[in-house]
Amino acid sequence: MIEIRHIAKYYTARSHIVKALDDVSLTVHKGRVHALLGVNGAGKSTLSSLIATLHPPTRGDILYEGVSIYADLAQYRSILGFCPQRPNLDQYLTVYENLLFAGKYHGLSHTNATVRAQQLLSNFHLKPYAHATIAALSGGYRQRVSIARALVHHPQLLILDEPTVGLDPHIRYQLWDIIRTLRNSGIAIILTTHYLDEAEALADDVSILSKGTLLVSDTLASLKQTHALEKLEALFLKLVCHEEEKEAQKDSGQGNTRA
Amino acid sequence: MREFICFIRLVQRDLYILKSYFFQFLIEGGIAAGCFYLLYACFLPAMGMTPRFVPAMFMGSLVSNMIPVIFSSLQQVAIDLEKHRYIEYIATLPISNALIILRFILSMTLGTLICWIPVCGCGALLFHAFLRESPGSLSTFLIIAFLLLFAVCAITTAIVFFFSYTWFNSYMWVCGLMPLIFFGCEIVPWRDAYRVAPYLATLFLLNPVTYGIEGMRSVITGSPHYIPTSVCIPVLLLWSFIGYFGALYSFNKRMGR
Repeated sequence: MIEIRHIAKYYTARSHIVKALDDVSLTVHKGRVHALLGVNGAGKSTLSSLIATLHPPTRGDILYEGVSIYADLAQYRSILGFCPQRPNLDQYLTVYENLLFAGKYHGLSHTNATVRAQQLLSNFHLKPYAHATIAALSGGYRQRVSIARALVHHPQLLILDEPTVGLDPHIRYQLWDIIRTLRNSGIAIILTTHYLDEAEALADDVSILSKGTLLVSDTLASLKQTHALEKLEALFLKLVCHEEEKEAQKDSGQGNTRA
Repeated sequence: MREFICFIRLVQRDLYILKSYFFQFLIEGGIAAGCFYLLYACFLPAMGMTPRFVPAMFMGSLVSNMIPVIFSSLQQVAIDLEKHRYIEYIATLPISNALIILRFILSMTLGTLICWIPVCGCGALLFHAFLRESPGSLSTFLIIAFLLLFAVCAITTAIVFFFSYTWFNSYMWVCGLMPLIFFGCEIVPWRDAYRVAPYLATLFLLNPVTYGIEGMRSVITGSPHYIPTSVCIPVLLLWSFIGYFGALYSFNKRMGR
């Protein structure tokens, strides 16, 4: 469904080129949760923001149903729902109005947007807060509104960037249930997280990033089988630690050469 | 078509929020117009100022009074860029950057115009005696007012997206908005300024606010003493384009595209 081909993103910081992502390729399928894992600074959020079209890649392409998304960004964005790490809700509107206007931005008529907003308020248990302002909501409820808003136009692809960071455990589990329900409804979900238990519980496919490069990308079951490990945590530690050791050896090798 | 619908709905959202403040604008506008009347039509003429300056000063104050309104809108954009990041949501909607930036500028312009209507309305009633010379058409006045606000909103939007939040907080008022007001013939008509300080008055010609204020003075008095509307409208249009493309450039740079 979504094919990421040799994507690279470079930034210039203080006249140095920073490679946030380098030659990353992976595929996201319908009705599956694809977890993007990595330590801080691995490039998970950069990759999800590139897929969400917040920034353009320096190199590479993203294909949706075989066609570059950059050929018609508006068309691609109409099937996309993006839920960033920090909920970026409209502070001047209530919860209900946030959902109502989100529907209208995507071309729903007032009547359809009203029906959809009511439906989402009900699905996400937000009815008691419908007329509350965003500032009055707790972090967990803001995250729920953010996910609900991302779903208002029935997207085919949902990007969740660290959706459960800083949430209480019971709210986290409620969000997991929501994600499972969405996956079962046929939506492709890209889940960026550094909680390995979360990825273990939700993901069908896993991509592990380290320092902007892709270490592995496969189904969770296949990765476990290939590396003969039962837990994703063990697999993650093995791959990331191995990568860090390689880096350290490379650095010390360069040091010896200089010496 | 999809992009255009999204654009219209975003502007609708902005007007929906503004609607809730209209009563407040009405009261504030009435108070502002009353203050202008007391100062320019009562106190200053009593102190010896020629009545010819009364409508000129009212128009100048009308414009300078709107600059804080624009600043307040800009502050909302700057805070959003720094804190709430609602802009990132808008950037993932089915709408191009060109329309996103047009929506920002248009909404800010309409918002400021809505704030302006009560001041203009109350002012027209209070300053009625000074505006009889040769009443210009309301439509020309509105076109100039719209273009002036659009140009100023576009230029300042370009600045907000170009510089950091820290810069905005520290310097926007002093370096961005104060020169627009004080080097824009706010108090003294351009020809009078030119008579006293020709070099400074020539500098005023680089400021779009000069053309806005002078154009409105020209319309409400019909006097040839002010820069004619046939000059003001094209210059304001030019500044609107420059401001719009500047804002689009800054926005693209800020969003990394």
